[in-house]
Amino acid sequence: MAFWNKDDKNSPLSEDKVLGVLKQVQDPDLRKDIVTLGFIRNLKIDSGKVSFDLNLTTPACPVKDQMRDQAIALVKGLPGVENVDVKMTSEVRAMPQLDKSALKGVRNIVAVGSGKGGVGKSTIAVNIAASLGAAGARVGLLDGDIYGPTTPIMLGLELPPKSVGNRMIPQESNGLKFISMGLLVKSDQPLIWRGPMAHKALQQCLFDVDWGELDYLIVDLPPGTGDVHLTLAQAVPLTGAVIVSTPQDVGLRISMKTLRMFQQTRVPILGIVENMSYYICPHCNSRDHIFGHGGGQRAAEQLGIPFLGEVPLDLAIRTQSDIGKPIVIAQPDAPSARTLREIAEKVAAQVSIRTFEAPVLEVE
Amino acid sequence: MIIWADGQDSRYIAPRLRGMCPCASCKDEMTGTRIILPIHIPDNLEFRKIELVGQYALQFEWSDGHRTGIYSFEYLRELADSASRGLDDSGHRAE
Repeated sequence: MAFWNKDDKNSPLSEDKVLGVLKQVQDPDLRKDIVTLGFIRNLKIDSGKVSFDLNLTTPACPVKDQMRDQAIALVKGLPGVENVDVKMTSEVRAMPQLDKSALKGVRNIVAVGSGKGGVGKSTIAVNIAASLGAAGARVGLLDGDIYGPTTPIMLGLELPPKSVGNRMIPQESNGLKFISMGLLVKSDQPLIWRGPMAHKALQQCLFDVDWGELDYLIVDLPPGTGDVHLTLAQAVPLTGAVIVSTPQDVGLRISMKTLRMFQQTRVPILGIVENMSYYICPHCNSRDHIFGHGGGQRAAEQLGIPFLGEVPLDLAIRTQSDIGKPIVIAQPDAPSARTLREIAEKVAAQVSIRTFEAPVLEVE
Repeated sequence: MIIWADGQDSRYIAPRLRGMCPCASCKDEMTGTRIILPIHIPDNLEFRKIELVGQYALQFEWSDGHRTGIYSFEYLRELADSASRGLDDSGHRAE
């Protein structure tokens, strides 16, 4: 071993040495090490005490704890280190094109869609949004389901939003900023709109709302592939879309159409969520796959897109939705809440990947 | 001119591109037959405005006021590629 070797045990502790060992920590989603990714901030060495911030791309990072523990263990292994203090911070990256649009305070827009109605799309959208909010992200939820808005009930907000001048002020509930297209009309009246009206209403809910600074704006879409979908894909650069389906083959086959529509408009698919995956009998705890099993997983594998998880038919999800308190907020330790939170974390991880990979489109 | 991610660049001539507008008033939606052809467009037509549509297309506003055509990047690349093979009547040249 040469005397100038950086690992020489007798040389004093240096920033280079600390960064050298931290380079061994990989972000499994972004597939690069945390030093190259620029995640290490405020590195300080005070004799044997090392402190730094680990600045991730989302507060809802699914592998946050592993990365922190691995970083601490590696730095502690360096000779001369007595104490390691790591502060976890996060900064959600913005989708490249968004900063130039009217939504410049919004970093990512994620659509939640399904092929047919009644698959629990709004339940999933609300719980993903609430989970990200609970993790510390700034989250907005736009309920774009004009034909049957259920999201207001799930958040306990059934009054129309207030306006200041010609700007709407989003309502706040369960840590989310919220606007519902359905609340722009009276709640007990059916909404019969032609395409151009749906188009106009969505544009208003995007651009005429004071969203402020948001890490994620989740858009709950109506079922199918209609005007709202197309307007959304054309009006803003979406970071991606989440597809919700039931395990049943029919449900999945229709979801494929929604998926293809997003692909045609170059909206990345962040993954498939299988809802109503199974039913756990409250009496005997046996698991029943009422709508079949594994359909979502198989479809995701065939299409080469991430499978985000299986959500059971759970009475608690429904009762929490009905009283306006999403299960991830009201009963965060319930098994279904854990599942939903893991799905939200996977969505956040996929968003991070997309913001690194997204092509920068420039028009001069 | 478009510079593509693969390094190729394609040049478009305004009146020719206007003549290949994919919108429903320039091209029959059911049959795909062109209603407006490049020969219908005056040579002095110009680009007035170019906007991004989501992340999949460009929308042009032309000096004749027309602005409903959404040209997907796939379509734009197709036009350039077929022009460079000398196959189409749009008159584009990939340089």
